[in-house]
Amino acid sequence: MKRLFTSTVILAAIAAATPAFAAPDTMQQTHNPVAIGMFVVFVAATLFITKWAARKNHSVSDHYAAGGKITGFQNGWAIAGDYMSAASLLGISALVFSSGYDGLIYSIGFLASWPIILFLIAEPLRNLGRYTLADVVSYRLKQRPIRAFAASSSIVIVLLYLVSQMVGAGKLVELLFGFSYTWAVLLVGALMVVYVFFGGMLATTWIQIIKAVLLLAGAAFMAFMVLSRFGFSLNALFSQAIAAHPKHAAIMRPGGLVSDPVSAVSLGLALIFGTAGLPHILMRFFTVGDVKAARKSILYATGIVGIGYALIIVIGFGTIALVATDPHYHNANGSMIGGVNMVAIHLAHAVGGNVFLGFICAVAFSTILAVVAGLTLAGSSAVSHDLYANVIRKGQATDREELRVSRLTTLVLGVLAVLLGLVFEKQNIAFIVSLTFSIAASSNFPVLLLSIYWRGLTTRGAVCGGTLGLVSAVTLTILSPTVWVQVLGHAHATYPYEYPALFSMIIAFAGTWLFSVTDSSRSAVEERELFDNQLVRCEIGVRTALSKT
Amino acid sequence: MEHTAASPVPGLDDPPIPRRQVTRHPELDDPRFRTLVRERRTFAWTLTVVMLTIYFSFILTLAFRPAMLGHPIVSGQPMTWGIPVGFTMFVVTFALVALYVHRANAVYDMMAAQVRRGVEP
Repeated sequence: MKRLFTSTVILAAIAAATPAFAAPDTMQQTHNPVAIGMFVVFVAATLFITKWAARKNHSVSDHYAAGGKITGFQNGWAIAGDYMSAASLLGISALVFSSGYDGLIYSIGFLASWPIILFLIAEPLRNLGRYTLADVVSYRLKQRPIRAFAASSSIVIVLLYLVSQMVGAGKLVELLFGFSYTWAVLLVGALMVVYVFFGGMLATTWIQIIKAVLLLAGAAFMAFMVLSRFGFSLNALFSQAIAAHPKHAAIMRPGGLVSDPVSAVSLGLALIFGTAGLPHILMRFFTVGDVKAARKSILYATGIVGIGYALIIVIGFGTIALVATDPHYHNANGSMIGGVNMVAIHLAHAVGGNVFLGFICAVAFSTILAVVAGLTLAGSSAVSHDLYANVIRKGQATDREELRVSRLTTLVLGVLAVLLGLVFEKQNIAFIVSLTFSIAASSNFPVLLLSIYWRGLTTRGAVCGGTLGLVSAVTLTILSPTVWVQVLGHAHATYPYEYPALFSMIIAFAGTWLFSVTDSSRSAVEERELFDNQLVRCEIGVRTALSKT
Repeated sequence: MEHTAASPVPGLDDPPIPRRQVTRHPELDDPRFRTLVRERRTFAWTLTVVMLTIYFSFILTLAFRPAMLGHPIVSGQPMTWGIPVGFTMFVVTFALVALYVHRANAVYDMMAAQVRRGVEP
């Protein structure tokens, strides 16, 4: 295994070193030696961590959950690292850059999902599950159908999320380090496979922790430098931003993001409940030892993510004030170099020069690596633990076999992620992040919530309702103006609203209820009877001597 | 303190529940268990409703009365009501999380431990 690790790392290093530096000629920062230097240091550090973690990565429990030995404090940072994707730093600052106040709306929704997870999901999840959310829902439901459903919907979410991260990574690395897009995507794919294949959850966790620390430190420095330009007066910053922005004072008011009430509520529902259905986030709760540590992780994560978003909002207004009118960051035709998503990177240069620019480039890249590693692990565990070990082998697979399948899946996911990244290079994928949240809120979340709190839930109800939610979220997104008109080029959208969650969640909950209450099979009766015993384990987290017989 | 490496996670290595021969857990008849479930769930769902109310009040204000949040706090200055309201949302979110964690650590963990001790030999 060690030799395999070394040779893979060498291969990845060659892949990273050989690309013709086919730099896009519009970018003045290509060949930034500081950026490339910091990037190399970061990658070397993560590979060193992976090597260290690989020595401790023996069993299925190590691989999926770091043996349950992560502390609440560490897990809080890791959750923040898993959760704050490149969409947070670059996407939200870009949203503030283009429409001001609207950037706050997204970040408030992303943060507000954490109390919901804490109050309703985290403790039962920790007490009832081992490695995947399917463990929880299959506690009293039929193993094979429910795991097949939960694994499928988790894989759909993971793949969509991976597409958004891979395309973002490809564009970012192309721009920052001067690699071609193809090489950039290959590099990200190779690194994420190495991390997860060898280091499992332990390596993934530490990469996420380091990324979160770097991201928070970078964002804090950038926000500090922005405020220092304005004598630490928010009003002075806002005044300058209003003067610089073409929309002027409108940037201080809610704008077009949530113009109609249905879209507003739909987006709100997707943001606040979607996180509770994201498999890579839920998986993090299995890495801590008990419910107390799970709670502590959320307390730290909420604090870290909240501070991070507050800083990113300041950074966003900083980009309006300092980058928007500076010709240095614009092409000859007046467009932003690298597109609007790069404004935070330009701001790093504006307030901290080349060295800080290099640092923020490395942070942005590490952000993507940490998220794709978490996604890959969640996807591979859904395949190996749910589909292979429990659906195909009916629980008879050995640890060794399950681990082998998990690693094989990691390789497959790496190849798939690279291919999808290449296919979607030129596509407008802005809708994908909200689509993943909508799917998670309409498939995994209803099934998970009802399995914990509703005695009446049966296997048939969970599988039918969850599938209806998933299908309706995808269908409504395709029919919405964002995809039907803007991506597919049709004249009018069949579904008039931007986001599907309001309807797809109602369909999911109603479908689950209907198919459960009409289920009078013998197994349905048993599943309802088992609810009481599930309640005991869910609440006090231990099986008593009697129930073990 | 954190969970230590030596003690395995409670219950994680149990075999799957045997089908068709459901043995009722004795805790279900323990009045303390019923109190724990009732109190914790009431508290958790109340906080959930509070969070959802605050959040959707914000979202619906955005949708129906955007001008309210776009009004300057001090006339002539750029700061609108929306900015402090938005940042207060961050603070409230964290405060609710902290409130739950505090109460769970102080009250519910102890109640759960009593129930566990009460049934185990």
